[in-house]
Amino acid sequence: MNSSFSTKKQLLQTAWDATSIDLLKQCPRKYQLSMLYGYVTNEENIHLKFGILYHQAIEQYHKYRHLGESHDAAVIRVVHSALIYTWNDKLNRPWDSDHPNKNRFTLIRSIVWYFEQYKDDPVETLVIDKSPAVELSFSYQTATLASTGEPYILCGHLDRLGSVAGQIFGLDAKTTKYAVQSDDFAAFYSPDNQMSMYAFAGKIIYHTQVHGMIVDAAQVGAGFTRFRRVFAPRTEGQLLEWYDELMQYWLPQAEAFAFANRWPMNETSCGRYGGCPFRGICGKDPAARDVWLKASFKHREWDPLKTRAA
Amino acid sequence: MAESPLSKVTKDSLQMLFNKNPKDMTDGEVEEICKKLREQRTAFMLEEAKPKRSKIKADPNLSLEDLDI
Repeated sequence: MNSSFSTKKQLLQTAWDATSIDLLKQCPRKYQLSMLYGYVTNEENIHLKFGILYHQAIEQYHKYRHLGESHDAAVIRVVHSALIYTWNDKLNRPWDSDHPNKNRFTLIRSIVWYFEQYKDDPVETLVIDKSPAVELSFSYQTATLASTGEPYILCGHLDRLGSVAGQIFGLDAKTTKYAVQSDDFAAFYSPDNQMSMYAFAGKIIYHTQVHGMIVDAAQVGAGFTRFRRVFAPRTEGQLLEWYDELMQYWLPQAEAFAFANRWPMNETSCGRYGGCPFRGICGKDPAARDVWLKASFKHREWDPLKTRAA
Repeated sequence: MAESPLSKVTKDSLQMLFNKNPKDMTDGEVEEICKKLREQRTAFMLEEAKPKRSKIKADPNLSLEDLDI
């Protein structure tokens, strides 16, 4: 059973992470198909696995460094681990991804290149309770209640908290197919729901004076990985605005959808975010959609309250 | 984007190590992978640093009369 949903009202999500809020804000129908029914394309599965393994490597690296390992020794350890995680023990062969950009070789290359890129990183990882502030899973019970009486929870995983030039930022590593060097790339993250949520988490949950987020974006190509660091500052006013709008408008809206069991399409989103994977489904007659969904998509349950696993 | 020849050379040279069960790998073998990939990165960075030919854009106000032909 998905622990992020109400025990009293079916389809009412009470624990929200950035992924599910993003889906809801993009298109309620996309949220329904992806979050409630768990439909996912094979390509999305590959992106998810790749992203989780990439994050794991960065998290492990900072833990080894905190334990006193040298940069080189820590890199060897995390690369070795990533090779093991991408080995199929049952078939005794490497992870077989048919994606040209997201596969075992590009993963290991991206990890090695990432640590070369940030070998002398000016951002210092914070230490909280004697542990490096990496892969921080948070679950924050808000004061806002759903109509069932259950409190809404904000949850997720903040990659890292670090300080640079005396200011504290949350850090998020992202892999993308988009050209990170394009002029407008930095603008992608301000405003951005996920970055606002993570900055909020850093500020409220970890009681730190977070000035915003740093996004370490990696453009993963077949033959290269290109990096760019983007600062996404957030003021207290911006975070309050984000939180108030979520609590007062977006989550009650989701609740209204759940009670009506209707998740309307937002057709203006179909071509955005690289093109919605459900566009072909929504473009068909309603009576034909179920058959096409079952034939074209895999099933995956996304429970925001569960920790990440590749 | 198609894979560059350099990337292919690196991949081919690491093929044997990538096909080996990583649980049987030594630190030296993992270091060999890291070394080859760092070399590939250096070459990529040098390529990136080379000045690129910028696309010549036509002046939208230019007419045939402006061309001295």
